[in-house]
Amino acid sequence: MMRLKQGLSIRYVLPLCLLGLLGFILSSGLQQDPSDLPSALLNKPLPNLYIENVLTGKPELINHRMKGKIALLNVWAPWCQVCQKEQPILEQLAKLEGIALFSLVYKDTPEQVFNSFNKHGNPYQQTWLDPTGEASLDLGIYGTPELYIIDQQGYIRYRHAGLITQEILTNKILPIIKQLSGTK
Amino acid sequence: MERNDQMIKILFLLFFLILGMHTPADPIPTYRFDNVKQEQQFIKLTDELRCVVCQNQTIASSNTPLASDLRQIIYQKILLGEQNDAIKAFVVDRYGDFVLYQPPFNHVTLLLWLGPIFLLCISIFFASKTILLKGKR
Repeated sequence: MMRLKQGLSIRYVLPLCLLGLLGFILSSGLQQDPSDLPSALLNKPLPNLYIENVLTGKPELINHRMKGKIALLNVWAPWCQVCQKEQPILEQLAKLEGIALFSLVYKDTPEQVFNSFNKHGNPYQQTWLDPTGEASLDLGIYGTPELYIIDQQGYIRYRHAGLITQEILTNKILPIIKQLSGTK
Repeated sequence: MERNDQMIKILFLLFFLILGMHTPADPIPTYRFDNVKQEQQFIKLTDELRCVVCQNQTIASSNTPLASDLRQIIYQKILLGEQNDAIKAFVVDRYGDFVLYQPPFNHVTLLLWLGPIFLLCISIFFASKTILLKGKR
């Protein structure tokens, strides 16, 4: 049997090393959230979405409104209770320099949207409607709320699925925005 | 006395067997196809795709609105004659490889596919060494 230094037989050392490696791999796996899906559209251009603007009542290509700026697209719905909790975060985002906050409403009516704006305020530059959920499906939405960060050239750089807390805002969202602002 | 005990054991066994025989009521959608081949394509395809919301269910059996929307879209695509590869690509483009119950074989999933076989080979190698050594003595 091969012997390493100090008389340690490889028969004992090798399995222990393999076990250690396996343990490391598995424990780092445990720390990740498997239900957290990375966007399939990461680093790809925002798909062309031709949908109704809630204010004008007319369909338009939302991509045109976003070109040239860092666009934040929030996918939400008035019926989504959880989405309301993000309001303070959204207001902070709206005030940031160099970004434009937009929203896409998943499966609800214009009336409900205006209701919500009256009650909670409207932090968005533009809001579009997706009553059938088709546009959201093209984005790969699997729950509300979801926030997309789109760069100045129209490429999706980040997608956050779920509620954005102050912590997530500071630790994840703001750094990305900063990074994108730097590459102008 | 012994016979009574046996009877009780048999009754318990039957009881738990029956409990285990749940017939899952899969919400099979009432879609009308042009022919049986299309219907079978639909059943097979929706059973091969994961529901991203309820991630341990297929879109065939999931109750979520997203699964329902995807079933509708797949139904329409099948009626138009789209093949499985194209339909799967549509879903994967939007939701990623995760939706496929059979992950594709590429440089990322290489470890996933070959890992178990690799581990097995290593174990067999060391086990046979040990056994042979023991045999010698």
